[in-house]
Amino acid sequence: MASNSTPSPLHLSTQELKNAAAGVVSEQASLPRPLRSSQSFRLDEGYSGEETPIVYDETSGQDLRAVREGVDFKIPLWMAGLNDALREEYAYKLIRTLPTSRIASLVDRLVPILYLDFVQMLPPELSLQILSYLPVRSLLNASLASRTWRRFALEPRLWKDLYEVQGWRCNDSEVLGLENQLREEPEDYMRQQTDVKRKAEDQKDEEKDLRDIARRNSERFRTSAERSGVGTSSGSNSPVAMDTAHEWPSQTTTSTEVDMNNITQSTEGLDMSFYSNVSHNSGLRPGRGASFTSGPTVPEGEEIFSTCPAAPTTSIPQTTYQELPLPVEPTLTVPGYGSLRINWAFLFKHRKRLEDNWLHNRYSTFQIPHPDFPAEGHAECIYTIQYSPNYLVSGSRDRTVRVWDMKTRRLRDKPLEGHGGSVLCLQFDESPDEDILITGSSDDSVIIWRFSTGEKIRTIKKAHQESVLNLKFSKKWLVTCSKDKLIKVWNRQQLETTDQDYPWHSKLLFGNSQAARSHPHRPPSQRAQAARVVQDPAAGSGSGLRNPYASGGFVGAGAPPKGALPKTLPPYTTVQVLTGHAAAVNAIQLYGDQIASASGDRLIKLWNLRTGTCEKTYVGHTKGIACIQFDGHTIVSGSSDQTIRVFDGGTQAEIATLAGHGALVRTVQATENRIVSGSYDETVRIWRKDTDGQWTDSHVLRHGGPDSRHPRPAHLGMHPVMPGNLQQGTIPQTPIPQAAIQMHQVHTIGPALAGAMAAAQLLPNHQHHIHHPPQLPPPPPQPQAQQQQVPPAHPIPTASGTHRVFKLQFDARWIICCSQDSKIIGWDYAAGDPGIIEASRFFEGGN
Amino acid sequence: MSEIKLLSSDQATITVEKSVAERSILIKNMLEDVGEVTEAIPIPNVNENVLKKVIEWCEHHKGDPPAQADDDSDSRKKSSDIDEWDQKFMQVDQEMLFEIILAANYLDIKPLLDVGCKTVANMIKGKSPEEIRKTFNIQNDFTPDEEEQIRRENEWAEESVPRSQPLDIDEAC
Repeated sequence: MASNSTPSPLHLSTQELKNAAAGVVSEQASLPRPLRSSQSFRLDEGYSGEETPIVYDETSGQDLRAVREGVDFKIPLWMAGLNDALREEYAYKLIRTLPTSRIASLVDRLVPILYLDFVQMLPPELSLQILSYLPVRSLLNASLASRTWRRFALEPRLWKDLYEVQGWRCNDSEVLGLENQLREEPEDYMRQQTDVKRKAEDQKDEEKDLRDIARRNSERFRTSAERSGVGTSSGSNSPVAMDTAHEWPSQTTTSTEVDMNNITQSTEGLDMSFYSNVSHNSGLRPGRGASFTSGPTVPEGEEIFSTCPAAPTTSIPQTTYQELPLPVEPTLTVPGYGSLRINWAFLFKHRKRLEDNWLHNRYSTFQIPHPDFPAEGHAECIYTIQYSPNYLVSGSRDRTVRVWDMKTRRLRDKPLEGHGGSVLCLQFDESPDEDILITGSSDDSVIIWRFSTGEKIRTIKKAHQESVLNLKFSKKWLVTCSKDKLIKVWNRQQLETTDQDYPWHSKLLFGNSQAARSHPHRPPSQRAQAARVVQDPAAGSGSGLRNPYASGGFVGAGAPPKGALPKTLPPYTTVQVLTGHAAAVNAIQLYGDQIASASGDRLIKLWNLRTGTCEKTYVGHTKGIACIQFDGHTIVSGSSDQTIRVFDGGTQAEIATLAGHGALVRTVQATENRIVSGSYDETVRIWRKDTDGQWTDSHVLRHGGPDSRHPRPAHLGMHPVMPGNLQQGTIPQTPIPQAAIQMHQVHTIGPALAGAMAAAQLLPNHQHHIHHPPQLPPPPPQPQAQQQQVPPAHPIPTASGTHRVFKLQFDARWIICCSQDSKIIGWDYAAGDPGIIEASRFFEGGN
Repeated sequence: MSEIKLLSSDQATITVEKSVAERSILIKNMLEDVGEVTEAIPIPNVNENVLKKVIEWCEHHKGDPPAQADDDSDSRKKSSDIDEWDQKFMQVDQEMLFEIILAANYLDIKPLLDVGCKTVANMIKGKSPEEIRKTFNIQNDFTPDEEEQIRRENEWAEESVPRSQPLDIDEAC
């Protein structure tokens, strides 16, 4: 059974708080301790030094606070014996006899009893829990309350929660990487930091900071007894002060020893002491928790972290501490439990600032090739790009594929040659276990390259009967689509019949083959299922349309003859052919075992890769569809009908129609709250989802220069050109003559869209519901100074052609796109800000 | 309906229904460990006033469904969602409020701890730094210079835009 001296285990509300608290109070969080370190709320009493414990003694009626006044003042016994209500009444009457100025001073002395700085009193994990309910603004205001509050309010764990609540995602591998580095190779990390002088200095400050706190902390233990605070006996019925004296009788005599230990410990664990100016009873150090700040009587000025005046009672040299150099701006890492840790306050701040840059259209621009090395660029227009943090790969009408270094924007090695036609689509994965680049071309071929070396691993010469318009791969599958109206699925790894991915369902491979159906390796459930599928020939094509290729032979596509016996499938065997679209399949997206396809036949189809069946068809676009994205839940597509449509993947309902582009929408990417689209109208549009779920057209980036074909609407006439606008970089240029544009278009029109365009022309252009962006509000006020516009490092070159946008990709920081121009254009929303740039590698997704 | 006795830190004995007392995971576990108890269970860290208050809360909430395993990650975010009775219950002076929080922490009554912490958070919400200092009698230990620096630093959070409007369109077609 518990007794008075039994320490209670801490019951933390969540593991997070526990961890966070661990960062704040070091080892204390994991140690058992009494609920209250002596009497948390007896502001300044608690453990005392050689002084008589300050107690309100009901028996004698002596209020020892009076010692503070140097007056031996006694409350008359008869009064002390009255009940609370009566004593209150007497006190009130007595107070009313005082002049107002006295009453005011009395109120000043009473306030601390009523208003308590809980951060100084509660165990840190409880303070953190309280702060965890605060929104950003309140937390920042709290961080201005005092130094101690600032340290709590900037606790990284709180900001990690806030970051997640915003719906922002982070690059887990980068975060983990840094965390591991900080844990395992802190020295390396430190060394890296010293590369930058400024950082090196910060680091020193931080360390000094910690040492200072550690010393201050230890000093406080020696000196807290001297506290001559107020509000000593706020609770008339709580004898805790007595308990304290009773429980820890030896503290006074041992104090010096404890202090020495503490100094050593604190210095050893600098990081642990970071927050420990707020001290709580650890159970090891009696009375420690009683040293709470009482507020008003703390001397103004220098002794900021020492909550008590220094006691001249020990032999340890006293130092008057100067102002603590408190880091004003958050830094990427902060001291944590045993090692540095990632500072989510830093990441939150810069993510917010980055998002603000998106909202206010602040960016810098860049181009590839690097303007100083124009010869590295493609000779003709660029149909496709993909980038990672390190590389960008582009495919061009000049039949080459080029790999660029994202940091230097220089060409890596020489262009990859192999295709006999335009390179229309590509995907790469630079990770060492994949190290692959796959490209598709208008020469009907697909080439698989080793990414790191650029060597050709394999060429599928006749992947399709016509241009390979798009391709996507996962670890297991490669999916291609073509102007020949087909979608093909290829295995990337050799498949044995024992393999769980073995394509037993493939009609292409096995058709009605009895041998396949009854093959012993085939899972029984699939055997039954297969029988059903085989009996229903329409099941393979959702719309019931027969494709001329579906029943014909597959020439040279690597497929074994139909009805063959099940056998080992070498890599890049055609395992499925998905038939059903009535026009060119312009784009596909692979998600797990699902494929979403967009076709010139105005339809979007969702396929099951394993069974080869079309599971859903999405209707809405009024012309051919050029691009698609599918994330497992939502489909976003762009069409020749000039709209972007958002479909619910499950219900097939059209959720939104985004109208604004003036021509075919050729490329689109979406995250939960942002869609970026590129069009043949030569613009890139950024769409935002409002809090009410509505998509609005928030920004338009012009890919080219000013264009006489698209005069600014009158209501925009007063609109100032936004700083950072791409336009800024392109102002000193001459408009391209109309005729030249048209000429160029004729020559450079992308074959990829031929199918869509053709289909589009066949279809009636009937009216469709569209919503235009509402009347434009005045531009938001520009923030002063801090976010000045960053001019593009290099002016966007004015091409001698038009800028139909073919492909774009974006993330939290960049939009990069390619167009009819032979240059790749990037918008960098970090806008040259070093903080955002430092933080952005941890960000993921354009929110 | 069995009853148990609790002994507060100031030696007051309080009789309480067992099911009510078992809102405290600490007491619940203790009872499970020791079985039948006749003498009062000492609660050494909670005085009579606070213990009575905590029991009042437990009595009102004795019918509540048990808290989900770890659903607090979401509920922690919304500090305003305190039910009406709890709001009234928490209308106490700060000392009592913090004592309740500490007692709830000690006794391991998570819903009460949450309500307490939310109540305090709501006292911070929407307040200026100066107002926060007043509310909790916080000694401002920043120099005016530092305060100004931090104020400026915190401005990054100030830039916000009503989310319902498009911001600006510098070009349109």
